[in-house]
Parts: sequence; C-alpha cells; structure tokens
Amino acid sequence: MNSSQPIVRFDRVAMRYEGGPDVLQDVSFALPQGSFHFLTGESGAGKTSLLRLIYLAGKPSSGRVEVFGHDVQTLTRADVPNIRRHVGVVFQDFRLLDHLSALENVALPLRVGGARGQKVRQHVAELMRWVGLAEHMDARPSTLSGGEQQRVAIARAVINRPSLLLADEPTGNVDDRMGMRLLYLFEELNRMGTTVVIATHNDSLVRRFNYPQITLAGGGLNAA
Amino acid sequence: MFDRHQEIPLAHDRAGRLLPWIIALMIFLAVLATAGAMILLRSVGNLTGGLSGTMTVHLPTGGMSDAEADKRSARAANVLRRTPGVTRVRVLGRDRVAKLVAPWLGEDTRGLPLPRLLDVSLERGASINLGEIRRQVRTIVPGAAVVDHQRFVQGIFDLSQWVFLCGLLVAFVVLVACALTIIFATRTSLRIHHNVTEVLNLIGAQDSYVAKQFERHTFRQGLIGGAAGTLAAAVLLAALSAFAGGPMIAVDGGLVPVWLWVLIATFPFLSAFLARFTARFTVLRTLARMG
Ligand SMILES: Nc1ncnc2c1ncn2[C@@H]1O[C@H](COP(=O)(O)OP(=O)(O)OP(=O)(O)O)[C@@H](O)[C@H]1O
Ligand SMILES: [Mg+2]
Repeated sequence: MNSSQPIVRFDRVAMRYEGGPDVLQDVSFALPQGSFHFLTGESGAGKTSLLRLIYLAGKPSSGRVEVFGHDVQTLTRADVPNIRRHVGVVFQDFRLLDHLSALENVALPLRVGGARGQKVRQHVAELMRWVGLAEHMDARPSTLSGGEQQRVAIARAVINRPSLLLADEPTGNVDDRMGMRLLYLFEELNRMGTTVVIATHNDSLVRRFNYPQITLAGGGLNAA
Repeated sequence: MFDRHQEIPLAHDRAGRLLPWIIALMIFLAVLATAGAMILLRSVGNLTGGLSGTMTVHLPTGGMSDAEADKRSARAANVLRRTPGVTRVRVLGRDRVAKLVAPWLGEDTRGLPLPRLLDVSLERGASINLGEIRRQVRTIVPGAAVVDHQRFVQGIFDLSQWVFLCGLLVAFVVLVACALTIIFATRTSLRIHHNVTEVLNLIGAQDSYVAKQFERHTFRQGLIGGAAGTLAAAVLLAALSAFAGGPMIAVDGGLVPVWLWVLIATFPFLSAFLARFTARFTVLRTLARMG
C-alpha cells in the first residue's frame, strides 16, 4: 500500500443478504488516506451494510471492494485479523462483552494484539477519562446508560489508533454537547492520520462539521 | 485486570461442568484396562517361565521287573541325551515317582506298576522333532508318552498376549470416546459463546487466540478429571494388590511394579494434553467452517 492509494475503494459494488434483494447497488467511491467522511442516508438505506463490507464481515455480491489495497474476494480467513487490527469499528449495537468491565472492554483490542501490563491500564484509563467514563471503569456494560455504553464502544474502537475508523451512528445516544466532544476526538485521530467514516442521522453535526458526505439512497449512491 | 476474567467466560458454563466428571470416568476405565493388560501379561510370564524349556517323558513299566524298568529308562535317557537341543535329562526312578504320587495313592505303592519319568531340559528356542523322539523312545519302552510343556505354555502365552492387546485396545477406544466427548462439549461451548468469539474476531483476534482460551480451560478440566480418575483407579489397584495376592498372582515386585505405577501416573497428563489438543482442533475447525 503506497500513500497515494485509497484506503478503501468500492467499484460498482452490489450487495445483498442471503435470499434478499440488493441492499446496495452500483456503489462506487474511494476514501483517500487521511480523509474524513460522513456516511448518510435514511434508515434502511444500507449504511451499516456498507460498513460491514469494509470491516470484512460481508462480501459484495458483485463489483469489487478493496481495503488497504486488498481485494476482499481474495482474502483468506487468516488474512482478515491482520487487516481488522488496523480498523477500529464502533458498532451500531455496540457489541460490548458483558462479563468484562468497561475498562476491560476498552483494553480488548490491545489484549488481542498481545499487549499486557500496567502501561495498557494507564493508556486505557486516560482515554476513558477523556470520553467521560472515569467513574465507570469497573462497571459492567449492562449497568451503564446507552450513551455510556456508546462511549465505551468508541473508546474500544480508537484505543489502537487505527488507520481506519468506522463509526456507525456513534452519537445516537448522547446529547449534543457529548456528540461534539466525540466528534472532536475523531478529528483528533484524523489529524494523526486516521481515515474516518461516520455513519449518522445527525444532520446538525453533519452541517456543523462540514466534511464530505457519502449519501445512500435506494441502494445507490449520491455523492455530495 | 483480566487476571480472573477470561475474554470468554468458559468457567461459568453450566454445560461444561459435567466434562471433568466424564473425563474422570473415562480415564478411570483407561487406567484399569491398561494396568489390567500389563498385570496379566506379567503374571502369565512369571507363572509359565518355570515350565517353558522342559519336556516330560512317561515310560510305562507295566509287566516289567524293577531292574528291567530301570535299565530301559536309562537307555531311553541316553537316546535323549544324544538328541540335539536337549541339555539335561534327569531320570526319576521308582522311589521318586512314588513320592510324587503319594498324595493320591498313599505311601505304600509296593506292587503297583509305577511308571518312570524323564525330566528333560531343552535349549531355549530349540526346535525339537517330537515325533522322532517319541518313535525312538517307543522302540525302547512301548507306549512311552512325550509331554511337551513348551507347547502348552506357548498356548497360554499366546492367549495372554491377545488379551493384553484387547486391554490396550479397550484403553484406546475409551480415550477416543473421551476425545469425542470433548469435541462435543467444545462445539456446544462455541455455540453458547458465539457472540463473544465473533466480537473477538471483529476486533482482530486470530482464530488461534480464541482457540487458546478454550485450550487453557479444557486443559484444566482434562487435568482435574484425569487426576481424579487415575487416583480412583490407583486406589483400586492398590487395594487389589494388598488383598487379592495369593500364589496365582504373586509375582516379583508385587502385583503392580514400580514402572507400572509410573506409567499410571502419566495418565492425568495424557488426559490433559488430549483435552487440550482436541479442544484446539475443534475450535479451529469449527471457526474455519463458519468462516
Ligand atoms: N442481517 C440481515 N439480514 C437480512 N437483511 C438485512 C440484514 N441487515 C440488514 N438488512 C436489510 O438491509 C437493508 C439495509 O440495512 P442497513 O442496516 O444497512 O441500513 P442502515 O442504513 O444502517 O439503517 P439504520 O440507519 O436504521 O441503521 C435493510 O432493508 C435491512 O432490512
Ligand atoms: Mg445501520
């Protein structure tokens, strides 16, 4: 992967769930390295489905998806983890592990990457303070509010300083002030080189931050 | 952090609680089958060791005088001594035979036609032409019978080896059943924790990372279950060798010799590693198939 190559490229991509109709149709775009995009479109337009293709949880039914220069059709199961370690994902449904504390959830990507010890804890705790979870580090996710869980999910997605951050509705459960704060966090990461894609319904945030949009409508794409 | 908590909460599975018990039972059987097979082989070897390499010749002496009978026995003995493979021939005369049959016929055997016996020692592994020996001896003493202990011993020994192999086969089959049970338990556990393994994979965990957690857990279950089963079997064997001694199984070094105890002591580890590698294999294969 050289620096001029896009981090993600979709070329006439269609995608459907097993037995269903096309959810995405003829979608083409490229995300240059270091870019910041909003992914918009009404509910059911296919935002989550598109992000799934990027984090390798699905394959296109036609067309070509490239992530970090790899054609996803040619990737083997053994290749996938190495790519995913460079991708931070905030899932729309958070996907936190409830038998672990909030802090352990956030530390998980570091653990999986082989990191251990006190340094990890400090690093994790610092980030959790930043997203306003200082009081909740030892709490189980199920005992946290929706907005708090969302911030745990965000902290987990960014703890590794990923090259690519995919956030699916990351401000859906927080008030505007916290929404702004989280966007600043994403901007901060973006300044350090992370390519950012944020799927959102929140028009006021989209307007205020004025980044380019990828808009899905009727399975296809309206680039704005 | 994470000291007590695994990323996959396997220790809290209700489904998995039974596994150490099943493993204990299986290892108990495997140890008994193995030890039983070894003990049998050893005992048979010890019992028959004294008989192998010998042959007995009966010389009926009905109608002969004692002097005549002694003369003919000596001639028969000489024929045997010249036969290749024979190392020693001992003539058991009338007095000696009388002593042997005294328990059945009483001390007073005068007037009874007692046979003479030849106790023949053979070279180890010698191939003796029994038919030829019988023919030669019969020309001297009609009706002489040659009893080859070697053949009888060999029969018992062959049989004991088959039983020994069957014992090992039983142990092997039990271990296979144990592995199948572990496969089944691991698959169930994977299904229960599917959402956790999925998140780990999404975060960038290799399948081997997920497998390692199952390995660690199952290793412990295999070790605990294996140790319990082995201990139970060992207690039983110790009791057997203490109470069920007697001439039939009294062999040098006791019923269970030291080396067999050492072999038995390896079973908990055998069980632990069997559990571990079975779990690893199952997780990797199942995840790859879901891939
Ligand atoms: N697992 C699935 N199986 C079958 N169909 C699915 C699945 N997930 C989503 N869909 C369908 O795909 C379409 C797009 O869904 P998707 O979740 O991508 O939309 P979205 O833009 O993320 O919506 P929202 O803004 O509500 O999150 C929907 O019509 C939905 O019914
Ligand atoms: Mg969605």
